[in-house]
Amino acid sequence: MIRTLFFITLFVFGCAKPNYQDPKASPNNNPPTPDVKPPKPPVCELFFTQKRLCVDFNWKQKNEGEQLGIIELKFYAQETPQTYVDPDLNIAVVLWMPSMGHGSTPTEVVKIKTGEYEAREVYFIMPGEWEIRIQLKKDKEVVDQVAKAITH
Amino acid sequence: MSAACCGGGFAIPSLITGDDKAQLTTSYSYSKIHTDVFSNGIWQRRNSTDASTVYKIEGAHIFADRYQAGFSLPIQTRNLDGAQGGSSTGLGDVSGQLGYEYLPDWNYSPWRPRGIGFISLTLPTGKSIYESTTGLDSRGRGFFALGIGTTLTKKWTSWDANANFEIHKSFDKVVSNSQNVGNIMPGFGNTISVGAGYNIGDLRLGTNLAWFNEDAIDVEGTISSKGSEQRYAAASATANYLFKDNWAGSISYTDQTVLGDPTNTTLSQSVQISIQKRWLR
Repeated sequence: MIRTLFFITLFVFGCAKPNYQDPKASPNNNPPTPDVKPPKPPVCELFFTQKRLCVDFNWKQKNEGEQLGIIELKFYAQETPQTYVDPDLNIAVVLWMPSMGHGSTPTEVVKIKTGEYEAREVYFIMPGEWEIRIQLKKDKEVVDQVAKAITH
Repeated sequence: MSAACCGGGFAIPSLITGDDKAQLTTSYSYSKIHTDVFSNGIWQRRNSTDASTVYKIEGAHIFADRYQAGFSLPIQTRNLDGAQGGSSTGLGDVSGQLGYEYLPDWNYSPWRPRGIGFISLTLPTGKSIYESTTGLDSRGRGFFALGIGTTLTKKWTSWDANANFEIHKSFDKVVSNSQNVGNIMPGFGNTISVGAGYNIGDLRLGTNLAWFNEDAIDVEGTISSKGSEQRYAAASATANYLFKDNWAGSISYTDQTVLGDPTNTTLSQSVQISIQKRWLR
């Protein structure tokens, strides 16, 4: 009788409809359709509007299982992409989950050589849609920042 | 939910809905995150372990005939896999309730339910995800919250039914840590649940369906972001037994993956056992 009741209530109120998908498969990874011209690539994907700087973002090592992630960051002026330059501010990288309004563990930013840095200790505390926020800071004040959206 | 007096009825652990003067409940639950649901509706099965055990003490006492006060005190242990995994134990969010029986069942009406209204206050005593730097030691929502709601119960010969409606407001919080300095701004939330039970002597078998909603959490500060609504539902099955001297025991299974249209949430499966002592009026 209880089982009957249980199934009646489930029928009345509706079962969940799981939408299990590979979240890493974004439409951007699909090949473009032949009759549609691909959009022009942006001059730089991540642009600091205040400091007029671009930053190249590249995963050196992804955060998977027991492995912490490492992100390579290369800063350059938009007009001279072949020459990396140091921003005249401190660099911070914050992992942020906007849908829930919280961050993750702190990262450590290490200078490799002029204009080239690594964000280490990258660890996402839960799966989901994250933003990797690259900040230029003067003391504790954030002067400029850019965000790279990813799905972890 | 637990077995009520005389083999029937329904009781929320921190709210007395029967003819008792007081009740004290201790419960132990184990839950494991099964799936993450993103704000775009995509489900992703969790392939690492994020499990929690909660030991909770809840009590309620009648005063001034139709008024009652109750509390809930959870101690939570979290176990996480992964590079920053480990185990962490501490206090969760403590809450208190004041209730009033606005719809008594003095004349044993065959259709009119017993109704209890309540206000609840949740204190952010558990470290929240907004203060935690590892996620491991996050055990609470992190906000003061004030709620208002009602519980309706009805018992017939063998069957019983219940419904709960609750709405709460969570209040803004100022945070200052290495990642963000600013305001966390939650909104309103609500819970709706319905349940029914079938009583065989001192044994009660029941089911319950519950829907949970929380407004988006916005952030303003060194990091600003617009959040997304959070929504999930849970189905549970419970067996209660009333022992001698008004002791009751229950075991329940709750699954958040089978019902509703969840978004921006984790979905867990959990098992809970509880023991309750009641004192008659």
